[in-house]
Amino acid sequence: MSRYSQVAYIGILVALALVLQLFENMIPMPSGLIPGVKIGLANIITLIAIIYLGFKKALLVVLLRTFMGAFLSGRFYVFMYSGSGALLSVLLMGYAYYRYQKYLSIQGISILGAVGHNVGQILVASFVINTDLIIFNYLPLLMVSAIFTGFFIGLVVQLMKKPLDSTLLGKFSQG
Amino acid sequence: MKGMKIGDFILIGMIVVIAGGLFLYSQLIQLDGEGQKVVIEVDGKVMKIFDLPQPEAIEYKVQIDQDDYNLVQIEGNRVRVVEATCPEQVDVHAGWISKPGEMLVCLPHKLIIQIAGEQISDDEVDVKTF
Repeated sequence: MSRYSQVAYIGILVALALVLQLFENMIPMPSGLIPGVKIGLANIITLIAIIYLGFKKALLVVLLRTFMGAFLSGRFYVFMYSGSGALLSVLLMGYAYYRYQKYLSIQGISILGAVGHNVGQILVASFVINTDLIIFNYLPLLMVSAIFTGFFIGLVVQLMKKPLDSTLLGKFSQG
Repeated sequence: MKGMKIGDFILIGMIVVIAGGLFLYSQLIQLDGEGQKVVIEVDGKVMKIFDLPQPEAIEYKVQIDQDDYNLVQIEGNRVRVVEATCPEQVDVHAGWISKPGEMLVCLPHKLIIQIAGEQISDDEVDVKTF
């Protein structure tokens, strides 16, 4: 695939990720017990990018969608919080995908990504608000919920394997 | 479940163990019981501590800066943020909290309101009274 086509694909993925993110923000989640719990639909794109585009391009997709997502929401602090989560998430998933493919299924990698996402966000939030209790009170719940959301995301990607394989597999230069 | 591998279960196990450990620790540093307090912190500094329960409803306005504030209401054994200038209103939507460990957070204001049991962790001992 020519470089230009690859760039176009990256653009499409970023746009998709943004749409998913915006869509997700419209779903009311019970924020009483666990504020900030999300399904992380945008991670579907991140995972697809890691698998079919390679880590470097996946990283690019994540950085772009985080940056643009912050612009779209109109508040810069969003960039810090969701960016740190998404960044940690893609780093963990990328590493897990290349090192541990033998032991982890797509769902497992996705779960790791979801956990990384939550941990990243909580760490930044606790640093900014200057409290450590948030780590102990919310992280356990978020981590356990990450098992479920991560599994769901991974399942979605796995179910899309056939059509994704036919359009994307092997078409991208890795790196 | 399609193609679950051994690593998946190890990962899930690790998550549960770590989450459980963090949770147990949080229970240890915050004991339940009488003498509960509402601790309001902005940017790591304790702004105000209220005793619980409050027989009459109290309203406390946390003035973040010239334009931003959070209006805290304490009634009986519970706390909530009635009104705030937080962009996403996470703290307002959360409603009432009443148990130790529960918290109301407004990230842009660096505000955190939590309920502490009798044993307040070391971080909160630095009380600045206003």
